[in-house]
Amino acid sequence: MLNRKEVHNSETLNIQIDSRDQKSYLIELSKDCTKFDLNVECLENSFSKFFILNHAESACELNINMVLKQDANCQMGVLDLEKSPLKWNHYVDLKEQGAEYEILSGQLCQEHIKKVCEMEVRHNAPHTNGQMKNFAVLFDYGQYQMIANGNIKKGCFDAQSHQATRVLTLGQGHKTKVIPLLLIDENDVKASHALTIGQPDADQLYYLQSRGLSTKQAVGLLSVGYFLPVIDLVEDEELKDSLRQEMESKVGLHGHQ
Amino acid sequence: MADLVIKDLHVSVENKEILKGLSLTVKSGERHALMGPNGNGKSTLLAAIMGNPKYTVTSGSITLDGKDVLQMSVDERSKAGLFLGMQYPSVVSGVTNSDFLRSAINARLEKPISLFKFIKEMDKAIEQLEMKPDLAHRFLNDGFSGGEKKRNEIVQMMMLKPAIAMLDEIDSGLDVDALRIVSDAINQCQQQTDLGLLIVSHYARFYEYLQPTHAHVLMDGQIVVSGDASLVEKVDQDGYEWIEKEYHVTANKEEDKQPISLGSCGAKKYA
Repeated sequence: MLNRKEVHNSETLNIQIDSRDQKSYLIELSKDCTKFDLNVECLENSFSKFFILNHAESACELNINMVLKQDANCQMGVLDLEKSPLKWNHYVDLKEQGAEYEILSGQLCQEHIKKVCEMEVRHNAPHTNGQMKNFAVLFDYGQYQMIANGNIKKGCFDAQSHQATRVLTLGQGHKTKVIPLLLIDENDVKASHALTIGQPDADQLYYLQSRGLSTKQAVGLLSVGYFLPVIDLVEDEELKDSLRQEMESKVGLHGHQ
Repeated sequence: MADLVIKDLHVSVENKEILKGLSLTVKSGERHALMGPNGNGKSTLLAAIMGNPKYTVTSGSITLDGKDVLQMSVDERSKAGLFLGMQYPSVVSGVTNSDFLRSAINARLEKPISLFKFIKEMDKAIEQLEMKPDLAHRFLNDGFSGGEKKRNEIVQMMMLKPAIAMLDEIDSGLDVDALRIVSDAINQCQQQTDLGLLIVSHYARFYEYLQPTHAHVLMDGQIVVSGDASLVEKVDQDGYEWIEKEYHVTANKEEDKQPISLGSCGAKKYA
């Protein structure tokens, strides 16, 4: 069952997922939200899904702290399409062995809007798994900063830390800073990081245009591919459809923003 | 009734002239076979008509039903009724076939196509091309075999219903059975919509299936000889040499690419 929560200005939410429990949360940052703190503890063998949707209309600070116990499994999605700055700090502690965490984020950085994120997944036990996938689309003069850190402590053998950041830059004057970090103090681990930043491929654009899409629509369609993996995390089909329409409209797929 | 008219077209790529005064008219219901040795301008012609930004039209004209195609952007050309089935279609990861096609159809409609109608039409096209049912949900050409990409181009053509379709070696990468399936689909599409076809191929069997009403041989940037389907047979049997002799032209020969030495890497030099 999906738990929906709307959070307002300077609110703090503390959530504990009980042992062997299974929970899904949809948390919406309201229009007036300027700061939100989320603290989550996932107990042994729990399964949880979180989806955070930003509706804040002015600058907002989002702080997420998560602790995962033995064999806890947690998946998090963050979607931020708002034309307002977001400062986002995200720290995850995989405290006990077998803990698994995955974060997918999608951020749209419109004109003169800055989105800054610092995230870290700390592996404090063996057999832990952390995945970070961050997607962003920048329009003219948009700014995006992502520092993503996979941190594997000594003794955490068989840990896996993977991260990928994909940034699509459109127009001019935009600034992107992505720092993928892997801090590894153990030999027997698997870790990777991937990063792409760039304009749309000219051949792809031509191909899409040759089927009748304007440059703006073609670029919009390419942008859709950056947000869909995040929106696909939403379990409520009605909400998923409405988010998708909102996203398609904001990236200009329907010829306007 | 569509009418694509190309007059005295000159096209350059990176300051090298490829097309040197080409003229051609394609009308609704016609099937034009365009042949010629590699490197003589067939694909260039199709790309220039579609508006590929890598190709520069230096002089001449292209009109569709009297409208100046050269003044149109690529998407306007598509919406005006032109379609190019590409030799090497782009791979677009993250964009599903259905999203792409629905956007392309909606781009030319005032009111968006209903989801029901779209799914019905797409399923029909997929079935006719004997493609896997999951095509709609796969990313555009991502992980497709060569043959799947070509069939997908025909699916798009069937869905977009152009007035004039240009097919650039759409038969390459297709096995014998697939060639028949694609040919049948093209034939049926033409029967239903009366589209005009401009088909580039080196494969006589493909033309056998499609039965061209006109045939042309393009050499050194110009159409050297035109005729009916019998020209396809003659080229298939005798090649292009007789044309060079009879019409006093020399076909461009594709340069054999020589291996380039990158030099030694990491080798220690001693004085």
